[in-house]
Amino acid sequence: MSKRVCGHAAEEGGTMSSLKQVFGYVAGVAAAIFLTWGASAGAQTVKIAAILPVTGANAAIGIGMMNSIELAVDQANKSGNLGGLRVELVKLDDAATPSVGVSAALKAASDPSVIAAIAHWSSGVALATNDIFHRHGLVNLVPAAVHHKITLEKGYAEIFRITPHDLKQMRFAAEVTVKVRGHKRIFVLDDNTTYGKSLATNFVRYASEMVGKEVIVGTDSISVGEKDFTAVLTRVKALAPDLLFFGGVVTEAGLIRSQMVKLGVQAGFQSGSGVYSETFLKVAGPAAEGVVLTALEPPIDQLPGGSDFIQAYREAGYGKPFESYGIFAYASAQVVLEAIRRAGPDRRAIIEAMKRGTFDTAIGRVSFDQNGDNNLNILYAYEVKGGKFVPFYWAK
Amino acid sequence: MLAQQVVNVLILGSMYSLMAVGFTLYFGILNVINLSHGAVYMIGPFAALVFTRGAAELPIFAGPLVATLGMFGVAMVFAGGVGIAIEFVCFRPLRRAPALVVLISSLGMYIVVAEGVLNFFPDGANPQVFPDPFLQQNLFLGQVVITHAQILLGTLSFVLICGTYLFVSRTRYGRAIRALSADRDAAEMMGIDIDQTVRMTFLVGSALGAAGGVMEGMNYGSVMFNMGFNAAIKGFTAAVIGGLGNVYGAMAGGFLLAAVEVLASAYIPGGSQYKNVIAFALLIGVLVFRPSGLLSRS
Repeated sequence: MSKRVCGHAAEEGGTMSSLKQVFGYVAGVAAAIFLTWGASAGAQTVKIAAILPVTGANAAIGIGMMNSIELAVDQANKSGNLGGLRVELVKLDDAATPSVGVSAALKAASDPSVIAAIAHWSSGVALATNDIFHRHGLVNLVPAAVHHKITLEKGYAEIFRITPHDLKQMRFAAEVTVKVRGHKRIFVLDDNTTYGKSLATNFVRYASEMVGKEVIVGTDSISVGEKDFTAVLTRVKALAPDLLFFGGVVTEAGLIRSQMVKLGVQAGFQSGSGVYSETFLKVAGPAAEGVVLTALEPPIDQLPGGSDFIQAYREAGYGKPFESYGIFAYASAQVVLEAIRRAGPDRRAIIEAMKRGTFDTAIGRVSFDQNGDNNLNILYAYEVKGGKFVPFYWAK
Repeated sequence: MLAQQVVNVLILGSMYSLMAVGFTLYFGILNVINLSHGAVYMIGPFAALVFTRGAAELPIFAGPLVATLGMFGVAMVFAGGVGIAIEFVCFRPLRRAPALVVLISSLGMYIVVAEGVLNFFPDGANPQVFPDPFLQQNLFLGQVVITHAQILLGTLSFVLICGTYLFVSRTRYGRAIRALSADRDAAEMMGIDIDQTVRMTFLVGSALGAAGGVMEGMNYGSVMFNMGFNAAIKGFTAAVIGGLGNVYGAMAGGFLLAAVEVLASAYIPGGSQYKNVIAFALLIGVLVFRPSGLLSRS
C-alpha cells in the first residue's frame, strides 16, 4: 500500500504564524492572571506549597494527601492561632514524575511569598527536587517518600521527613521475614523505580546479613504500567520459593498477587509501605489473604490524633478518601504550621524552628534528628486476615 | 513451563492484536496516528463495569457466559459510539491539517477522556475491581493452569479477529476502507462516501479496542483510568511491527510482540526488566530493515 506522507508546506507556514499568535494570547492572559494573583496577596497572607501527585496513576493517594493538608491549613486559619498570619495553600501537581515535580518545585521556590513546602509522595521526585529546595533556602517537609538518600545523601538543612526511611523499614521487614515468619526461600521482585529498587536491594542485603545469602533464590524486576506478569511468575513458580517479596506500590502488587494465585504459585507475598492501602485489598480480593506488609503506622485509630483526624476529614466533606498517607500529610502540615507560628514568615527562621522544636501532631510527638529525619520511628507488620489488615509485630 | 508460557503468549497477544488493528485502520485511511484510541480502549471496560453494577441483579445475567457476552456487547457498542464522536470532534475538522496537528489533537482527546474518568467516575482515581463472571475457576492441564475466563476470552478474540478479517476482505465497507487507504482521491472519484467510510472505520476500530480493554479487565481483575496509555503504546508497536495500514500485519504483530516479551521474561535470567528493551529493539530492527512492516509485500 502506498502512503502519502503529509506534504502541506504552505499550510504549515500558516499554522506556525497562527500558533505564534495563540502563544502570544496565552502568555498575555497568563501574565495578567499572575499579576492580579500577586496583587491580591495581602501583607498578612503567607503561602505554603503542597506538591503531590494529584493526576496520573497515583492520583488517589496524592488527592487524599492534598485534602488532608488543606484540612490542617483550614483548621489553623479558623483557629486564628498563627500569630496574626493567614496561610494560603498553593496546590501543585508533581504527577509522581521527576520532570513535572522539578518544575512545580521551581515554581513554588521562586515565589518569595511561599515560605514552606510539603512535597512529594514519590521518592524519585523527592530526590530530583532536593537541590531546588536547598538552593532557594525553602524548607521541604517530605510527607511520604521513604528513599533513604532523600535525607541521608546530601545533608541539606532544608529537607525534613515525617516517615521513617526505607533502610529502617527494610531492616524491620527482613527481621519479620526471616526471624518472625521463618521463611527459607525468598524470590525478590521490584518495580524498577527508585523506591522499589531501594526496597528490594536493602531487603536482600538485610535478609542475607541475618541468615545468609542462600535465602534469596532469585531476583527480577517488572515495569510500572504493565499488567501481565504471568511470564515472570511462571518462572518464579518453577523455582518454588516460600515467599515472594515485592518492592513496589499498590496497583502492581494487587496484580502480581492475584496472578500468583491464578497460576498456582504456592508462595507467600510480602511488600512494604507503598502497598499498605485499602485499595490493595480491593484489587487483590480473596488473593490478598495471608499477605504480609510492613507499614509506617499502627491502625489509624491507635494514633494520638487518629480518630479526631478521621472525624474532621469526614466533616470537611471531601469526596475522596484520605488513603494511607493522608494522616502523614496532615501531621506534616501541622508541623509546618506550628513552625510558621513560632518563627514568623521567614524561610530561614522556619528551618531553625523545625530543627530545634518538638511538635505535637496527629501521629504523635515529632522532632527531627541531625539528618532531618523524624525521631519517631513507627514500624508495623500486618497480615491480611479475613479481608482486613491485622497487626502482628511492631518495632520496639 | 513452556506450555504455560505459550498460554501466556496467546492471551497477551490477543489483547495486543485487538488494539493494534485499530491503529492500523486509522493510519490506513487517514494517515494519522490516533492516540485517543487508548481512551476508547479504557472507556469500553468502564462502560461494561457500569453495566454489570447495574445489571448484576437481573436473572438473565445469572450465567457467566451470557454475562461475559453482555459485557463485551455493551463495551463495544458504547466505545463504538465514543469512537464516532471522537472522529467528529477531533478528526473531521482537521481532515486537511498536517498529521502532527491531528496527532496532538488526538493526544488531547486521550487526556480529556482519561482525566474525565479520574475525576467523574466514583473513586475514579483508584483501580476499579473488574468482575470475572467465572469467579476465577481454574482448569489444570498437567502443569498448565488456565482460567475459565481465559478460555472464553481466547475464543472470543479469535472470533473477533476472524470477523475483522472477513469484514475487511469480504464486505462492501471493507472494500471501501481498503480502497480509501490505497488511494483516497481515486476512491472518492469512484463514488466512495469518504465520511461514511471513516465513521465506519472508527466504529470498528473502537469496538475492537474496547473488546481488548474488557479482556484486560477480566483477565487481570481490575481496570483503571490510565490503562489505555500502556495499551496504546503496545498496540501501536504491534501495528508498526506488522506494517502500519496492514490489518493482517497488525494481528500478527500483536502475537509476535507478546511472544518476544514473554520469552524474554521467561528464559533470560533477570529478563523481565529488559523485556521492553528487547521488544522495542525488535521495533527498531523492523523500522530499519523492513520499514513497511514484516508482512508487507514490498
